[in-house]
Amino acid sequence: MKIGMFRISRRRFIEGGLTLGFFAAAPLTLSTQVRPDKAASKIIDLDTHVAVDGWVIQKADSAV
Amino acid sequence: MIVDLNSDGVPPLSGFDACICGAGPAGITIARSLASRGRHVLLLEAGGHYYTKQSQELYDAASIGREAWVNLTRQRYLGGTSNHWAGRCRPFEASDFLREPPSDLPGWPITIDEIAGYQRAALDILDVKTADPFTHSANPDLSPYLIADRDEVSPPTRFSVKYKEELASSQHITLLLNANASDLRMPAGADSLDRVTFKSYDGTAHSAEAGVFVLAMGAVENARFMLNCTKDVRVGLGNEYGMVGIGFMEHFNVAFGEFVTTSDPENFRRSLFTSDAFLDSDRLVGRSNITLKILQQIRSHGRTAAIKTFLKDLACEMGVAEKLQFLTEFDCPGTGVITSLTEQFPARSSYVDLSDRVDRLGHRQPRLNWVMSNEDHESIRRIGIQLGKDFVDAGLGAIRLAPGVLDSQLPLRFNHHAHHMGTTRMAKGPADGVVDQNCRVFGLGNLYVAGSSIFSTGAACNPTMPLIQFALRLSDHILGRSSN
Repeated sequence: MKIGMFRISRRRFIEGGLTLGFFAAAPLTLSTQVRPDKAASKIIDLDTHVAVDGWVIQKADSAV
Repeated sequence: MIVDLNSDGVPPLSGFDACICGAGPAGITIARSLASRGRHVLLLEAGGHYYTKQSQELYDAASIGREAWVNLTRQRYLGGTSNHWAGRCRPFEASDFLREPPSDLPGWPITIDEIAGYQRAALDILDVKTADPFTHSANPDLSPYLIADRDEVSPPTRFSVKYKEELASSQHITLLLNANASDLRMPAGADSLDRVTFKSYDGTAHSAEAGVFVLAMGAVENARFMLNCTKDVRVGLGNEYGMVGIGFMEHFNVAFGEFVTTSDPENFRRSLFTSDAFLDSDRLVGRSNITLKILQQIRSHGRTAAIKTFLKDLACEMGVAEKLQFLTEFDCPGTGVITSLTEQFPARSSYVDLSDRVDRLGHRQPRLNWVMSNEDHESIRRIGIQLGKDFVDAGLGAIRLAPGVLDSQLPLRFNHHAHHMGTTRMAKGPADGVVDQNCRVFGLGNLYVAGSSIFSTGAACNPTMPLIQFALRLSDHILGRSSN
């Protein structure tokens, strides 16, 4: 079939629709997998520094 | 003289002072050195002039630990793995020979003085012309613990290209191509070898006598060969203490994490090295060469990557890939990535032995168990944390360490560097290694090993230049000369 200036196979059209539909229907599930900022921060004490979700910062900065 | 057993007849095989198995950087270096002093050398190369499937498939190996891609990372033809090495030269530090690793195998039984005198000659072989090598760096130190790394780069030298004509015209070297070393034998009751057996690809066996024998086939193959030689020594040549194959080492390419920087965010690049001061302050820390650089292309993960893949496939089918390129490869403020070449401590748990599978020439295939120990992971954790602190304290930006770096209980992302080392390690005695301080196999009067398999530790140096230093030193030893 032809969409605008592009010609596309029926199989690809259906596959594409299903893929986009999947992403549209399941954003919450996916976002928890790829967006760790939604989860609680993990803080590790590194003596003079702390790591917050892996980001290393000085304790002086973290106190501010 | 070069003779190809696939196409030529076997020449007269007598009068050899030395037989060297393996025509890679170590084997060719020793052959040239001995020949230059008038010694007659038989040099056996399992492959031909170029890559062939029939030769390369004999590198097939089973893996029961971390995959090290033995077959893909070594090159089984004239010139060996120099045919695809990248050319980076990085020497051992003096302290690498003095430090005892925090593991169950000892460090070096020699000092760096034993090989330091061969560095200039090794660099000449590798076509590195720098007058005062390893003294300059484009970057400043990050801290006393993480200093700027210093390296040199070979063009890189391809030994097959550079030395083919010399080998062909040599009156003292007989180079046999497509000749697979299959056995080393000794007279009954003797403690020295007298002949090598090798096979051509049609399965025909040949043999030749020589005064001394040198194994220079790579770390996995050296161990595999010795373990397969069971006719005179049931447990394998040099393996009375079960040490052949023990202590396999690689360099970990650890992805320490990512960073953002306010300092030249488009072109930021640093290459760092764990200093002696760092290692002196914490004996659980090993060597690491850490590179921080900005990605020039965007990298995607998760849902974004899935959408891009879908769009790419769709675009290819529609024939408009270039029109959608901006969607899949557009530029954006770069992500900084951190890679490394990090020391693996020698450990008995990381080893090469033999599998039950047999190759087409009747030799048992190697089985590799490449393992990262708890000590290795702890070293990486400490290096990563130091890197994070020093990067932040220097005001360069922000750094995010990978979960497995911060917490040694979590899985760690790492890859290999195609640096195989340590399977016939040098030690003071046969309980801890396979070769003595002169690279001679314990208990055998005239069998030597060359290449990075003799490394007691791998530090964080690229192996090619040091293994050539050791090869030149071994040549002098065989010639009965002082290394001075």
